[in-house]
Amino acid sequence: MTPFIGRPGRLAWITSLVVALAVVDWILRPDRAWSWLLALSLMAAIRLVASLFTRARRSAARRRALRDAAAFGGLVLAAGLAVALLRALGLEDSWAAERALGIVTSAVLLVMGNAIPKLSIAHATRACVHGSYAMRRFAGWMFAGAGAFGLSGWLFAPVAQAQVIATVTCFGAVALVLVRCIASPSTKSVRPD
Amino acid sequence: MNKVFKALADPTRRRVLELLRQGPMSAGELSDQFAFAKPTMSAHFAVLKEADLVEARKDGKQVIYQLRLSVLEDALLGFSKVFGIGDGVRRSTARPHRQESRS
Repeated sequence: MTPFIGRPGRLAWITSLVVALAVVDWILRPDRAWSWLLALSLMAAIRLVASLFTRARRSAARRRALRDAAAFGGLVLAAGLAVALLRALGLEDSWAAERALGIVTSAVLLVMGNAIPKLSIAHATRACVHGSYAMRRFAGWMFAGAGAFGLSGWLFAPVAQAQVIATVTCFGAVALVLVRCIASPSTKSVRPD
Repeated sequence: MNKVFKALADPTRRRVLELLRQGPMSAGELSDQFAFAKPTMSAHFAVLKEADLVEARKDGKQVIYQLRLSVLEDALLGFSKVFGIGDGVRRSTARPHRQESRS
């Protein structure tokens, strides 16, 4: 199964989508030109960073992860521009725009939470490596769980309840991670072995 | 994702991942937990590395392996353990500790 954001050339498609949405937004709301210009600049920066880092000497997995991250960043940008387009078309009071934004936000939390344990951090000792991985694993599970819970809320619950579900789960996850971070013995310094 | 499924389908590789849950281990320390020859274990480590489930780093002459599981991969590992995928194939080959030395 090849994920959508893992295919070659998909970043070009996402870039085209972002540019098209920004241009349409610009035509409909020329008074917010700076916002559209900022979105276009962000997309250009994502493309630049992706091309620079994927050319550097890295493993295939790292290059793939960087490309995925860039594509995901582009998708988030496109979702924001699509919501702005809905508003520009007069759907700003509709539940659809708010729900769409909630879905995107929860999806971001879910995807980021999923990737947190995979982050590589240089450590001097095995104890540090293990402590750090345990912490990242816990944070990943918490954020991915909060994202999944919030996402199901935005998909199936009424908007008012979905807001409460998503907010409570998100802040609950942050609070639990902070508590674990403070209480964790791995935060204390460890001598190299 | 195919590589992840392939890596998790083997009970030996799942056992390696479970051992690494306790902390980073050297290739030798991991190999000592199994009755396989070193080349066989190296092949298992290669599959795990290819799937990006573990990270290897050199520490002097040793190669230290550490876990690199995403939340989804962690959940898949749990599911494959619960449902015992591929357990009937090689159950007899893994043992907790190697007692005898190779002749």
